[in-house]
Amino acid sequence: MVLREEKVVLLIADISGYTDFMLANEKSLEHSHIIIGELIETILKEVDLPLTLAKLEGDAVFLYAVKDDAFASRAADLGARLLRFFNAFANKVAELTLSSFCKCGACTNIERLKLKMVVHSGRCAFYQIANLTELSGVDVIIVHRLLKNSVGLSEYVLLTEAAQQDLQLPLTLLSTGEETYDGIGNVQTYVYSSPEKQTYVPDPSAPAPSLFLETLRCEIKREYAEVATNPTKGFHFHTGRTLAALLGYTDEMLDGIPEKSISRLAGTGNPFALGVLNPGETVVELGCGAGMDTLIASRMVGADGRVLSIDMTPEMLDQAREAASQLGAMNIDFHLGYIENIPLPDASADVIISNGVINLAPDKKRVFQEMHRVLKPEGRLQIGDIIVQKAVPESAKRNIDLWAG
Amino acid sequence: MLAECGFDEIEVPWRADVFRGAPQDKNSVSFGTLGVNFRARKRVLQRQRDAALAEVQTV
Repeated sequence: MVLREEKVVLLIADISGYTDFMLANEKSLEHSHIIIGELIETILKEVDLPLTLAKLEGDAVFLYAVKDDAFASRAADLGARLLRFFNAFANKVAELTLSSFCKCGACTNIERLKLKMVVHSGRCAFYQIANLTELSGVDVIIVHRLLKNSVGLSEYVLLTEAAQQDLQLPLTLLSTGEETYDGIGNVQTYVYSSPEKQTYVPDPSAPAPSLFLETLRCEIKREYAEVATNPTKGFHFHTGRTLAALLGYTDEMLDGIPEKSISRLAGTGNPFALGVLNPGETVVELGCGAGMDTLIASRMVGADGRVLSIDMTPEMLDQAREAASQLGAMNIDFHLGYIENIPLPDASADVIISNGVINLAPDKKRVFQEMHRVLKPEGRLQIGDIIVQKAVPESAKRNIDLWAG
Repeated sequence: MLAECGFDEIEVPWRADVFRGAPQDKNSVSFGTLGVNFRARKRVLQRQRDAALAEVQTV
């Protein structure tokens, strides 16, 4: 059903290099999607009246501005805003490049991604299909065809003559051209090909991009996968029986615990030094590693109790599962996941234990809130972790070496 | 942060330099990093206490 027809400026902001980026990084798809998502969000943050989002089209953002009575006074500002898109995009690319310490194909090729925009003015119909409003008409087709062009650059604005009449970009910045399309014919164009970009200056108070958080998790997983596969290699922390003695684990606690679990201990405290766990209790361990504390807890709560152990490193969980099987422990559920999302209903756990793991979570408040959610009223925390006695500068919080090593 | 998230009876009864002498440690000293044990208890609101008490009395 046609809702209305309007005179509009149509704009597509498209990430050039996207197809090659995705094809080249099939093995790094998760990071590719995070990177593209952050870049798309950056573009969307720059969208303001008179621009309106029509829809997202994969690597592209389709926008329009209705040429209503107020448009004339906003047209010049719209032209300037388009040019600011480049600065915002380039800043985000620089921020992501600095934020990622990952060596995957996606993270090492962020700088290849560029922004191109095509702009056309004309008329379009607004259709209502289900709950969606679709734009339709010849001019909508033309603006999409403009993405295939002869410009030969990776970043630019390509405007049709009609769009240039509306936006009035300074002619001194533009070169002229012509594109030919089947069924449409020749389209006179203007190309703005040298977007000005300010040098990126990091803002330490800005929230870390999700790529940093994901990279951080990757690096921590890599470190602890190394502990799982080669526990005697030597790390920035002690491991195994040396550490267990330092942390006050008694022979009685360790008696019968498989060596594969003890040798991979990488904790910073001793949850059991804070009190015993009672038979029948439901215990959650956040970051169980190779399972040493899980197995001690399992023995304390007995057959009527239950232990839910979460870890994000598959190699560690493999070791923990093998050790539990070796010990015949039947009251343990292992779960591969993040401690920010505990797979338990509200108010269902008696005790939460953890050992040297909460400090590795970027959003600690979220972890504490999740602990609060799953604990029963008066439920206990018995946690080993770390404190720092000297202030950690904001810049150091983005230093991956300080997190993982 | 623990109190803000609804925990009471927060105690840190043990702390120790658990990184000293670790094979690749290079940062713990510069930030004064210590291992700690801490305990806390989920705060119970008065209305939760009242509800629990009422339940016991009903039984």
